[in-house]
Amino acid sequence: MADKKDQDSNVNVKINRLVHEPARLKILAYLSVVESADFVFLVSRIGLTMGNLSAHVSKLDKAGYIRVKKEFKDNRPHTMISLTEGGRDAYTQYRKEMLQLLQE
Amino acid sequence: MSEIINLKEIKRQVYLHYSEDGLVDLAIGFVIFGFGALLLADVPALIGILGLIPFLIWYLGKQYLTLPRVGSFQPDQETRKRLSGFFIYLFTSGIGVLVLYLIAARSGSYQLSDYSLALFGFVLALAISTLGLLMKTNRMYYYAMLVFLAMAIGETLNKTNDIVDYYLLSVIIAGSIIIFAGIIVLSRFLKKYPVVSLEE
Repeated sequence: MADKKDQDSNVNVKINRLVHEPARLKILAYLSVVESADFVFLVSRIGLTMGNLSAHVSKLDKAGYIRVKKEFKDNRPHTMISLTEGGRDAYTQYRKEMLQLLQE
Repeated sequence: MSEIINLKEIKRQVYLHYSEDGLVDLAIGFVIFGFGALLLADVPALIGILGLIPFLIWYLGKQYLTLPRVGSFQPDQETRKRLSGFFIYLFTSGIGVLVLYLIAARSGSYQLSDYSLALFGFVLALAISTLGLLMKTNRMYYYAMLVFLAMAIGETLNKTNDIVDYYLLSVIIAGSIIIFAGIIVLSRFLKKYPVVSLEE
């Protein structure tokens, strides 16, 4: 799960730094409205390079927020990414906290 | 920040993304155009082939134009339920309209045969509008209106003369306009979304 270093308690609400990073936040946001998506989908939506995206995906995967499934489609490797229950909870929690913070 | 938090907006963007490629426009346009052209060329037996056109355009277009640019995703369960509900609704209403039409035409109690082509246009327009509602794409309503007007005006004009088949001509014109609009939408899409390279 998320590293303790990633939690910030300077403000009234705790901000999950792992989710707070804009690129990762976008990845979680897009994955939260679909069942699963491939790399091309995330690159075209988020506007990152493949290298950058892979690094963020790897961090989220390590934290247990997403599930990466490698498969073959038309004899070509095809990677599908989906949100785990933990990832959905972390994103929902983050949204709640941010909305609360913005309202304050 | 708020746009990342607004899930409704993200969802709208994701699905809009997939109707931006103009493939549905092209499929509708070719079916309408083909219907008019085949009847005008007096080969009604080939009309069945028109049913394959949307699938062919959809499959080839998605495979070679859309997916390499915007990737693929599986819709969530809620959307999948809504989609299957829509297709069941469309199928049963289509069958229902056909059965009602056949019953009315056989019984002769309604003067439906006088307006059968306009009625056909109305049913087509209804199907196109429902597609517009599902895809949240306003231009579908214009196509629906165009198809209905083309068929209704064409049928009315045909009653006043026997020389030119205005009905088929107006259907062909309506189909051509929709194809033209589809080409514009598709070229905008190709310009906006370049092919994503998976190489570093």
